[in-house]
Amino acid sequence: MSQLRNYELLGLTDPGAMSLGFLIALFTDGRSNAPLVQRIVGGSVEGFEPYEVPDAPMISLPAPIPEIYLRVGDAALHAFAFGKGDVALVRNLAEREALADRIGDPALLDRPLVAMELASFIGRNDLRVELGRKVYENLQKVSLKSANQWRDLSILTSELRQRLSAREELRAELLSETIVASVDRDVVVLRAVGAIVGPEIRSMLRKEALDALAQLGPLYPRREHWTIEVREGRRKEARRDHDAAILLASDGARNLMRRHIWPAVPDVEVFSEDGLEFTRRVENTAVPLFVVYDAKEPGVMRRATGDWTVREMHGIALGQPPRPLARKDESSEFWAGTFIPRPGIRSIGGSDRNVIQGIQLAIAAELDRTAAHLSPSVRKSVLLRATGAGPNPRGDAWASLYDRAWDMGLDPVRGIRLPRPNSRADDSFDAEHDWVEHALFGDSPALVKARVATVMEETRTTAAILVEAAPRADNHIGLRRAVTSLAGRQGWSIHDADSSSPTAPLMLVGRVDIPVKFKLAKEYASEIEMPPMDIDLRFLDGIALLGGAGAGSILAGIRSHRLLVVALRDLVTFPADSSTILSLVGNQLQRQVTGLPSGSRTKYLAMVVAQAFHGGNIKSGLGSQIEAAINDASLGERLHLVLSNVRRLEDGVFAQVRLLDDSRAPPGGPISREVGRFGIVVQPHEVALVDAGIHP
Amino acid sequence: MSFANYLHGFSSAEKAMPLMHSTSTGTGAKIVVSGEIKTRPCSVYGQDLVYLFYGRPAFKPLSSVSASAIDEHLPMCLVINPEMLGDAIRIVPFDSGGYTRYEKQIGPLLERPDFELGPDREVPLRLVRAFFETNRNYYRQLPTADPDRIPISEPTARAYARLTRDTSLADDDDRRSTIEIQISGAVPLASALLAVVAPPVLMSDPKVSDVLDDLPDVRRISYETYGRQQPSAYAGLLYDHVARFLVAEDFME
Repeated sequence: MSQLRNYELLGLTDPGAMSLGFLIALFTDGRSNAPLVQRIVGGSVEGFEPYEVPDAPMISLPAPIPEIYLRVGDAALHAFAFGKGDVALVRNLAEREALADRIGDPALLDRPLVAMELASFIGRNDLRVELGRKVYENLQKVSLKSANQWRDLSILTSELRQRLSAREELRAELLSETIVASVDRDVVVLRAVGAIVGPEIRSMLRKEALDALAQLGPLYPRREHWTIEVREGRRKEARRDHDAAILLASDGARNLMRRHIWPAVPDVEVFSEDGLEFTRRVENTAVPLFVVYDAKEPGVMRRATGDWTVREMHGIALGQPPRPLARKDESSEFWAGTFIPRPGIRSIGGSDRNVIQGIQLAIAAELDRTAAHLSPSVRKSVLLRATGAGPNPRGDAWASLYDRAWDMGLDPVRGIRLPRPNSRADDSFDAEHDWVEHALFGDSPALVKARVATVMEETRTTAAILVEAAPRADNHIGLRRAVTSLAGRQGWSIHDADSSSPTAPLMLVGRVDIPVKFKLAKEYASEIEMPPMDIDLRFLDGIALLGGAGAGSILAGIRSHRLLVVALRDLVTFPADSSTILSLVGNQLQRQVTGLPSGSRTKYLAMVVAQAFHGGNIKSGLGSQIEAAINDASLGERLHLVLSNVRRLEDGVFAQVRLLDDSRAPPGGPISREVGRFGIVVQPHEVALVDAGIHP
Repeated sequence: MSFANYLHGFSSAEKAMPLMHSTSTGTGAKIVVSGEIKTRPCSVYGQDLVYLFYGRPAFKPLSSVSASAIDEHLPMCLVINPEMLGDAIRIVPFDSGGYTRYEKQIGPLLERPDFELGPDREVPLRLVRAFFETNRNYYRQLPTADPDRIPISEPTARAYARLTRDTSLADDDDRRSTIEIQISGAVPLASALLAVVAPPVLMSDPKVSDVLDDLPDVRRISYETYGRQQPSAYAGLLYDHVARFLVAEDFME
């Protein structure tokens, strides 16, 4: 068991050099030269620390000088001077209480203000207030105004602050540092400096002020009725340079930010805990507030908003909105917020950074939206970002956003679009580059402002949308309108476009006729079953629209319905005078590029490669190896096809494909080994197998 | 453009704050009893001056005496009517005596005279507006001016904005951004003193009381010393009680 160190009393120093009032006891631990003073908490010694004036002169004490040793945890030592050589040392309650007899000491008779301090020290409020009344009467003889101000600022304000600091609420603690009370007849004015005081706080202040007045009765003769008036400071007073303050309210959010540096724009102050510093931002500033939390833990946000009902806080929820999505009138979450879905495995720059970029853009958008006085058309939204690829990257990005929103069960056009400004400074459209944006999102408001523009530039985001986090009407009217709009602008004639049934098929009439079907997503459950290899993709029965349209859904669509499942993204480069269903297959390859093998993507690629064998278009020396591979029973498990590169040709697409074999992987190395590399060229009427380095 | 010209772009919507003279209780008692704040020789400017701080009870130690050599550590503050700004002969945005401590932060291209502002009584108000926006922010030393947003053609303003935010200087050294007012004659308390903020031992000193009783308009605000063990804790009390006066008298919110 460790022994607590002894601290020996060295002597006393007189901070006022008047041999009157409280002195400071100086100690030594026998090791350091600097004198130490007690750190006193609740009447006990919590520790010792060096005195800030190491060579402070010590007063001489009459002999015998008592030997006093203290340890941490002991009752604190106090000293009070009644005059030169007349010092009372107080080590315990008895000695403290004995001081009551000296309140009337001759040294204090003409100094009631000093005697008041002594009365406070010994806990005799009755004596303290009585002495206070004496001081007040003396001052009153000179000036009533001066007397009142001393009473209000030195006594009442201190009493009120003490009461507030004893309360548990954080807001009360904060007010206890700044509130100022003054009394004019029966009106008590409380100046709540820089604070925003809601009804609950007003009520608390009123109670504490009345209690304080009652406690100080002789100084404040009882009135029939006190009127308590709370005056708030102007909120602008502590405007800081930061654009916003963020509270990281969940472990996930804190860990995320611990590992990464917050970017320069928007300029935010990041707080890891809901402590005093954050409280100051809430109370003393008008800076917009954001709370970052995990979408699975809305209770965290609820608590944060519950703590601070006086200020609106915008929630940044990491992850998808809960499923099923709550309708507006069903949600118990009253705060405005933005969901940042976690990125897919294909995200560039790492998943964490991607999430931070999402938070960055969400905050920039909210700040810009407020600055632009753009009304928040939705209370809760999901932020989706896209980086476009292919010959029309902007169009590709917008269509991909539409697909993702649709896939999540949202209505893509209910929200705000965030275009990357490029050369344009407003939300007008550039007919050549922005027709997809216009076709798909023309009716929703756009936000083209400085912060959003900077963040999008920095994060290489081509387009983004804030789409309402609420379920869309369960029909396909929107998707139908999007398809007809995209196809119509590329020269397709739309037959049956005005059908009263939103799921009725359309017919796109161009160089070829392509039926378009709208089915519910559940009919295209993702699967990795290979469709029969003899299916000729040129002669499918049509296409079916589905938001995500991943490889598994495409396989399912072909296998079960002889339909090519497509996303809107696949229709962005789809001119009526030259395109066929195979053109769409080519378009789909662009979004299948990834280094990671998967069973469904392998089989999807095998299906496209098989198309080359159907047409006898084998222009690669690896033909027999590839044919064996796509017919191998272990395709998708041991053998994988991976797209490594896709290039747009004048009338089609060239894709480089790698054949990987898990069984040939070197021990301790990657799980697969490349055993072949070849190319496929997908054109409107045929697919060809070529060598990897050769493309037209 | 000079620093003074830069400040002309700002005007305050708030009242001028009082001027302050903070000192130890013993010295303060002597000042009160003598009835004036006397000038003292200034080696930097080569003349006899009274130094006051604008709006804040910053403590200026005697130039020839180290702080630790003063045998008393209870501070008090004399709050002076802002009308005395009309008697200023020079205004500097920081404690001129501490310039050697800030030199490194300011950089080699600027010198103390670059920061010296004439006697225009509006200067402190403009300074507060330009770098702190409000009196309250200034009092609490919460700068609002971002040096990077000040034009590069304003090196003095940029340097001062940096100085107000510099965390490399000691936390307690707020004199780096507390405005100094230099007056060339003694400040008579009878006409200029607004308030005395002091511990009970000073406030109840018979001689001090007698003088203050003859100045009925002077407010007296006392702070309790009980329980405090360090000079910095007393300084904190002093700032707090001066703030109470400034708020009650609408000098700041």
